[in-house]
Amino acid sequence: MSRNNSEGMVRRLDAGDMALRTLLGLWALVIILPLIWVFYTSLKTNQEFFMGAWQLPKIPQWNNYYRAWSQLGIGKSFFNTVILLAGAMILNTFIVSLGCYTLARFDFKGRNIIYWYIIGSYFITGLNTMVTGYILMRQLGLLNSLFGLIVNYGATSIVFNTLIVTAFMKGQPRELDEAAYIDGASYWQTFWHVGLPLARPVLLTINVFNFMNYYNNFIKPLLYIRDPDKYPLSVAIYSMSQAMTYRADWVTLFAGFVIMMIPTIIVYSIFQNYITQNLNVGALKG
Amino acid sequence: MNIASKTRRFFNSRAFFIVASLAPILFFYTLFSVVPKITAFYYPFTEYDGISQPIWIGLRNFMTIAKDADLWSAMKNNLFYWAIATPINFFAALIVSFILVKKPYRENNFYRILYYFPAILPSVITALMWQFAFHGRYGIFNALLNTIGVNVGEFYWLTDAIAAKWAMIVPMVWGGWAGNMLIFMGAIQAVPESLYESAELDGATDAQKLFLITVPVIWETMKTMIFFSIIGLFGAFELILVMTNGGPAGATEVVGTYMYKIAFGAEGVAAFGYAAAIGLILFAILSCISIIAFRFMDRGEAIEMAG
Repeated sequence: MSRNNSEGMVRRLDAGDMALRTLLGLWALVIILPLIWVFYTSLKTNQEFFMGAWQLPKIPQWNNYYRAWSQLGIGKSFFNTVILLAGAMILNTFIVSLGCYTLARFDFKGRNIIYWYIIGSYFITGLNTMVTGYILMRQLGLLNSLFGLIVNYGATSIVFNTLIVTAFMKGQPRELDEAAYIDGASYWQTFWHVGLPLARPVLLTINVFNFMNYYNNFIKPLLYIRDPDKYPLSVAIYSMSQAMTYRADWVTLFAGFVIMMIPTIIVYSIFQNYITQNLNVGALKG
Repeated sequence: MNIASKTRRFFNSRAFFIVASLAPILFFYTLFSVVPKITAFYYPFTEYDGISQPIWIGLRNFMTIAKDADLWSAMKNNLFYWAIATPINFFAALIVSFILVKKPYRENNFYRILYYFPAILPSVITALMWQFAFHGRYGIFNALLNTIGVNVGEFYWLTDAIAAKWAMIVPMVWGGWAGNMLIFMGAIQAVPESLYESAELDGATDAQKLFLITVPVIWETMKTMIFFSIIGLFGAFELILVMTNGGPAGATEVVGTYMYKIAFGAEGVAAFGYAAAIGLILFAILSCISIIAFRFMDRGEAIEMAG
């Protein structure tokens, strides 16, 4: 918003403005109250949990977090998630950056056909592949393995990322590549020493996307992973919640909720501008 | 020339670089994105339990679908959620974005960050949180109602068929509206300031500015958003799967949870062929709606939006 405009309007703060601000405040309360409730509940004892929602913890039970991490198995799932995300992000970045570099910087026969073959998936929105995707993973022997999930994640986010990365790489001058060739660099060296470093901003963007996409994904690991030892966080927390029907250790489960929110909060606070300004398209897509 | 330098020349050739750099993207994309889309047109015509060989049965799955009352009631629920949650998500986002962009309140920047947070939260967390929030005795929802003077006693929202159906709207809005907010804010920021200035001279109210200036100018964006909401009609079902699993008594069953149960559920018999057939029917329905929607928009716009 222009500064000018703000100053012009500040003078006219009136009853209507008070009403609007109250409305925004109430809306903020609706958004944040359940989150705050989850947080202070995670610090209660189970006795306090049964005393009602407004009951605050007398002494914060940080021990709940330790129990969630070690006894509930959040720690193990957290580790699985780290492996899964790191693997899938590296694989996806490798595939996409290498392929898009060639699509953006080289003129060769069939280039447009290949580009539209990949982007064309966009025009088939709404085709449900939940079942056939599962059948494929089964036939490939990739079920119940983190490796299989890594490959699947890395591969299925190619389409959208190709769109962004190719557009970005096309916008960079080819003279830089040519200068490297003149200096005697091979195509591979040029990609590695010129193409990749120049693409760093866009590779960061797609990986912010990738993080949220992979971290939040629930259906795929639910279908593809059977062994609880290999669960990533999203499925682990779900299965723990179901097991709690018998164990009734609610406060520890709530501590698990908070632990699972922490990576999201961290990524959001670091890349907040990226997310709210650059990811318009992604919000449309999701 | 010796063999070593020949091989080096081969690996460093332009042709080899092009082929080798495109091989991974083409391989992974084809295998994991194209193959499931192609087989989505094959398995619907088979009976397949995932273990023995698929058996070609022609249109039999589709004949069963036509008589599957559970499926059609699940589709009706999808429509219900679309018809209720989409407009709420839309108007809440439109009005809040307008205020956030056009009003100079100090707290707006903070709100923009806070409001968007639920949109990036894992849906499984949103679902579990609200599942507990709706708990009759310990949940925050009843406690809140109590605080504002509405006493429903120990009412268990998710175990009552009608209440559960409506209660699901809450997490759908809580976690869903802010995605629209982001798009609206971008669009509203792009509206030329001069349009508002002349309206201000004419003494326009905020509501008039919103509906007579902003909405017409950002109308193209809004149409795109409506189009995407239609495409997502049968999409996300994680919230329901986690919170109610379609229950009680099918009250919140949507196509996604129904398909999931048929293909993977405990009571299911791994009827992959039948589940895939449902997927294909959904695709047919969405395609028809898309074509109608295309008619209402110009082609160029639709293509731009698909990109």
